[in-house]
Amino acid sequence: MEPQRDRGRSRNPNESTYLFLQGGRCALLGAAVDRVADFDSHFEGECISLEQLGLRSEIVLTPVRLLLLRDTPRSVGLVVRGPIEAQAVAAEDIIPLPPAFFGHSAFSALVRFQARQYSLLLAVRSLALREVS
Amino acid sequence: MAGARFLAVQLDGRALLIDARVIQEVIGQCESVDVPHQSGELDGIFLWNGRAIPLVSLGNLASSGSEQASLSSHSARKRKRTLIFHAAGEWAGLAVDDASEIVELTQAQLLPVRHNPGPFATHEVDDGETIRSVIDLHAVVSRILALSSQRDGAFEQAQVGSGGAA
Repeated sequence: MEPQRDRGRSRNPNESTYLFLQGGRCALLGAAVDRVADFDSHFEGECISLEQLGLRSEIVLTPVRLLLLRDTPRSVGLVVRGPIEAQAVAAEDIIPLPPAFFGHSAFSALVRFQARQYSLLLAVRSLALREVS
Repeated sequence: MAGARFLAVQLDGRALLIDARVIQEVIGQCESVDVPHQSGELDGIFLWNGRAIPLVSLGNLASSGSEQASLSSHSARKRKRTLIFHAAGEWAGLAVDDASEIVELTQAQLLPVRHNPGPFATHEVDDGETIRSVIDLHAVVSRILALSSQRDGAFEQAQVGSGGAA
C-alpha cells in the first residue's frame, strides 16, 4: 500500500484529519500514523488490536490492516479490521474526556464526526505504553 | 432551623434521596457513548453543555465491594431522567427512572441505615409509607476516582517497567 503523505493534514488550520475505524466507533489522529500496511503476522513490533481495547465488533470485518504508529518509544502496530475512513475534523469537535476518570484510558476524547455522532479518540500515548497481554 | 433539601428519585424500584446541593440540573434521557472501562463503574459518557460527562453506575460500584448489587446498571439508556451533579470536584451524571420532588428534611428525620444497606447509603427516611435511602454522591465519585487512581498506579508501574516515558 502506498504511503499516504497527506494523512493527518488538512488545508484548514483549524482542522486535522482523523482516521475513523470500525464503522466510526473509534478514531485516531492521522498524524499519529506513520503508515498503513497489510497485516503481517511476522510484524516484530507490538501489536494492539481494537478488540483488546474493548472495541469488539459483532460482524467480521475485512481487510485486516496494520496502522504503524509514529513517534512511539517502541514499534507499535494497531490491528484494524474493516474500512478506514479519513475525515477532517475541526478542533471544536474534539471534546476531551475528564482526565480524573480517564487519565490512562486507551481513549482521550470524543470526536464529533457527523451531526450527532461521536467516535472515541484513541489515546496514542496510552496505546504506545500499554502492557499487552 | 431550616432542614436539608433532597431530590427524591426512583432507581430500579428503590426510592432514593440525593442531596439537592450537588444537583446542577435534571435532564431527560441522555444518549451516552460506551467507553470500554475495566471495572464497569461507568455506564458511558455523554455531552452536557459542551463537555464530556461520565455516567456513573451505582449498580456496578456496589458490586465491586463485598455487598451484593441491588441497583442494576444495565439499562442506563432506558432511564427517563439524568441527574447532572458536581461531587468530589467532578461533574458527572446519574441516570434514574424518575425524579419527582424536592423534600426538606430535618436532622431528626435522617435515621441510621437499617433496611437497605449499601456502600453509599448514609441515612434512611421513613415517612410511614416508603423507606428512602439517602445516597452520598460524593462517596460515589470518590470511589470511582480511587479505582481510577489504582489503575493509574498500575499503568505507571507498567510504564517504568517498559523502560521510560513518551
